[in-house]
Amino acid sequence: MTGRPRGAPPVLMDDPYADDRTSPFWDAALAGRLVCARCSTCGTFRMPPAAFCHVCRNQDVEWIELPGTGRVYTFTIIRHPLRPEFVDAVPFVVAVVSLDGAGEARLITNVVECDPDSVVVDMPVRVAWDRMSDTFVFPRFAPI
Amino acid sequence: VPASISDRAAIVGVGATPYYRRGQSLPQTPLELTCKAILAALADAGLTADDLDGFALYAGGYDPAQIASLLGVPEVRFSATLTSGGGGAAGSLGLAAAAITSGMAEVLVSVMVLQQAGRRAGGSSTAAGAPVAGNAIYGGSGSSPDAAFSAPSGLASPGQNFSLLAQRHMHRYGTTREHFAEVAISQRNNAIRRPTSITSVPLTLDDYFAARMISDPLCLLDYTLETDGAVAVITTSMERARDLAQPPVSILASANGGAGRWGQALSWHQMPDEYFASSGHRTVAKRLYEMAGVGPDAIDVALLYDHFSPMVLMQLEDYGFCAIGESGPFVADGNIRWPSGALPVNTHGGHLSEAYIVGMTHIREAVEQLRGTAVNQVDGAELALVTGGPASLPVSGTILRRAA
Repeated sequence: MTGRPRGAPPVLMDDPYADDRTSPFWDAALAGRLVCARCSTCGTFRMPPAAFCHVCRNQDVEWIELPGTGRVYTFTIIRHPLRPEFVDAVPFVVAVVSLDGAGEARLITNVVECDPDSVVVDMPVRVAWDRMSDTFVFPRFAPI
Repeated sequence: VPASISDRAAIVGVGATPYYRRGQSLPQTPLELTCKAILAALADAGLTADDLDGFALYAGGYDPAQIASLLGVPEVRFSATLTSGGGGAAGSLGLAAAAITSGMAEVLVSVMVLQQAGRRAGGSSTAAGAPVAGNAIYGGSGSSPDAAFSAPSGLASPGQNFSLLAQRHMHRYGTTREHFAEVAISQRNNAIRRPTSITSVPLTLDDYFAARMISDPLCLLDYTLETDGAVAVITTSMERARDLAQPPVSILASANGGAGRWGQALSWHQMPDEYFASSGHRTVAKRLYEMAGVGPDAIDVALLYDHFSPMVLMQLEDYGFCAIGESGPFVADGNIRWPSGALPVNTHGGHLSEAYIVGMTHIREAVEQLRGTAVNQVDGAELALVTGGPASLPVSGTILRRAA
């Protein structure tokens, strides 16, 4: 867990600004574990870990450890830098990744460690931790 | 019989400033542009600001308090805005019709102004170091603790978000960039015939494929233009409309909203797979047709909100002009071309090629089509569909009818 994955975008946030609702996700990430909030009442996974379950409207959650694999649900190759700090970062891949073991929940992340033009929908991927600061480790994903 | 807004109100005036390339409307202020459009729309109707008594708005960008004061409106009786962004464009007409049908106001204006001299509507929604609320036009992306689940990916603009929907549509249904190109090319052909258009040269398939990629699979020509200007429309009761200067254009039906899980679709991408690669309009379309008492076959011309070309395709599906997933072949067969296609789409050129005033140019074109004065007139057009969004909720649709 040292260095940053190849193809990860510039660091825009150096802290997750976590609150009680989101800190279990980021604390697990610091320890290299990918987790997802699951409704304690009906079992629906939700991402981000919202304050209410959108199915049964209850608030309690359990944090489920995931295997760290998934599939590219959809993606875009960002080729035009919207901001100066992205000039040297393009092209890079923003992807919505379906997380194995987390129902319908998806994570907005990046596919890294590969040629952007090689990315396709349904591609299997595995988490590649990006240590952006001492307090913020973010899950990017690399092709399996 | 339950109360309905159907056929109870009509558009009686349309007014606009010239359309300008981004920033070129300076030194006019947005308020000045807004009032110019409103005064032009009132004059078109044969009315003055003395007759105006309501505002039926969407998306913001103006302040009714300032407008009413500046124009000396005698009494404001109704002032309401559909929430969120451009998704409310067509729905603002339904809001006006609701005010009129309920008797709360009689002469309403719906208006939009855009001046992108400073901030660009499609620009980045995040700032280095600290997350901020999302893009104003398309709805916010959540508060600070939630931002950590999206902003670090670099996903920051409307175009990038809609690229994700487009990519999924391509995967699921076999849609291609040639299909996106057909939307861009057909609309360009329409735009260049109009003196109001920002663009003036035709677009070829080679031009399209030579264009710079922005957020793959979307290239520059899949994106809306960036323009300035204001457009206003005046709505009043059907009874009063018959005594005014222009042939009335009836509001036959209007609906806004959408499935709740579409609410933050363009921020979080957690909507069900069934309608991930959609425009978010399916439930609105269903209610709209039910209110109108007609189906898609009855629509003569469709003015579909086109910030990004693939979203035109998804609206063609969601409004039932073709089956879900079949919009690519539908446009490839020439169906959306004017004048030869079965369903001419965006006969004014739309946001992609005429000008971007956040949906209002589509309403203007619908009115011109139903008055029979459009530059690219659809022969005998009686029913026009106009939409707002795809965007955060609400999205909206309105069916307008040439009054008998």
